[in-house]
Amino acid sequence: MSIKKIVGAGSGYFVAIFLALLIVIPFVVMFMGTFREHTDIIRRGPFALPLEWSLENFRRVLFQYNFDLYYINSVLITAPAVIGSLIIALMAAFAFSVMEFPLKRLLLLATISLGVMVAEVFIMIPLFQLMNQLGLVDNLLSVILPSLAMSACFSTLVLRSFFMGLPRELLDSGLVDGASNWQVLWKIYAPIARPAIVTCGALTTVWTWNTYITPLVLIHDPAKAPLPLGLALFQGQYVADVPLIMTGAALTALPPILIYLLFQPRIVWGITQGTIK
Amino acid sequence: MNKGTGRVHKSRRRKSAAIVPYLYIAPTVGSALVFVIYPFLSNFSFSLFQWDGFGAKVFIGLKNFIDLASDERFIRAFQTNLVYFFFTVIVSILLGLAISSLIARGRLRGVRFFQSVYFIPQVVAAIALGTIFRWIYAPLFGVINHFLRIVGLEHLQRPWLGNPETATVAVAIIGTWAWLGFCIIVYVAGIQKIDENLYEASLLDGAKALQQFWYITLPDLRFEVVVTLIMATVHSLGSYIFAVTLVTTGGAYGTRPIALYAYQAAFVEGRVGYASAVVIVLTGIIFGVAGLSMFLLERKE
Repeated sequence: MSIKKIVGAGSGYFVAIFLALLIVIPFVVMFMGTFREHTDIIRRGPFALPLEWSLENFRRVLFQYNFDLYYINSVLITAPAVIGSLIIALMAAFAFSVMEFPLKRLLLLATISLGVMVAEVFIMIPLFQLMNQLGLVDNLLSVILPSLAMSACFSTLVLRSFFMGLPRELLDSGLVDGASNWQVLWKIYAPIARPAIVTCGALTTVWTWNTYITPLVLIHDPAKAPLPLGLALFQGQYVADVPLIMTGAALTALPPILIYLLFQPRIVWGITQGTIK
Repeated sequence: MNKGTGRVHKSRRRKSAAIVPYLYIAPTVGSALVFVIYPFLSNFSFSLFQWDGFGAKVFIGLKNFIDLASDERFIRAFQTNLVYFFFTVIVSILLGLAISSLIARGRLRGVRFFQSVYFIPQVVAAIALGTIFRWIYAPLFGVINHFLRIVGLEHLQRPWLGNPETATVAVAIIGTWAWLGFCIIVYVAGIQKIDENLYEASLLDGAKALQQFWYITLPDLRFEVVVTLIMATVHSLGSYIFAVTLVTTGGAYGTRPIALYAYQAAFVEGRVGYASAVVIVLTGIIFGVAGLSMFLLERKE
């Protein structure tokens, strides 16, 4: 019996570790590649350790191949979309959880279901037409606004379920003390919701950072491309040099991975608990 | 006089109170309406026209949809997408169920560590994942071909993304790689909530591990399975597979999924009305899968 259990745990470990390696190896190969030279990869294969830990590839990709611009563009898109969406989602979640008003259920359902379920692919064609009419093609706003809307819908969903779990007295006692709804939201509800806000902020930052189809359709000027689009453009132009391309991929992948590692328990919580509920 | 102003004040206040909730939700609901829901619904009207996106629209009713049925490129994209769906959704769910029951029931230490590793592919841009795998599958100096040479299986070397026999499955496996870990995370969290006594009791009844899985684990995980099914389906048909195929093969060698076909029809060939019809079919498939699985779940409950 106990031998059986040990064998069971052993095979469990074996499978778990094997899978972890399968998932990690592509990233390790990528990071190792960033420190090498193309000729070295040809000579010694993809698994050899770098000859020297030089950041030369990073310097070249960042400053010779425009990734510095792509970084700035990605920050200029992600920061306003995420911060703006958190602010307006807090307001919406507050109203949807503590206020009563006509059409509440319908509006809630429309925002949450369509706003959360509609992916970029489903709206790329009309979105181009809309932004073209608004004169926003090649303007970062054309990427910021849809990202802001989708992020706000997702955060409204998560924050609302968080607010619904708070005791009603919290609101009433605030109102009795003479605070307005507005003050209760920002002075009482928002500070309590910090863990949920962190989860929403981290997830929507990662999603907005990784957004690709909207910029592909709406940003035609390479100088205005965010990182994923820039990475795709880069490969179209300089296909031959593996280490340079891996460096571009690493530069694109690193910020979300760092955010994930920083907020990891909250993100996994948000995924396993938040979205499932 | 006093009374009068009091009443005016009161009614004005009530009026403003009635608007207040709408002011709170206006930015979120408004931006969702303008930048997500309105564009989404516009697909339906676009699909009824022959239109290049700039010139005059010609109303042609359902002709775009009728043409789709006999469009060989669309049918090909549909078949390709079935392969992606199979590997990203079905294989991930089945393997995920098997592996997670091994991990969670074995009461391994460090489950949290494994969970956090398995989630990493979810946070990296699909374009970056595709970029890495382009090198892994590369014909010369690629990771897999190099590995095959080391272990003496040189005869298996081939340009994985560069021929119709292997390209679609090679791209599809990236989907399994990215989604299997996610499924396991969700299932392990679900299994850990199951009452251990159920397993103990079934042991007394002489149940084998497989029976335990079939009669205890699986029924309790049906909700988690539906969640992963819907999310993986959206990705196997939507933005994720779009970016991965575009960066790995550009849609060549029969790897083009429906979403990439819609993009190329609209933005390369200038057939905006037709491409909108493609998007609607795509949306229909996704909502169909989601609706059907939710319906089955509800009926079970």
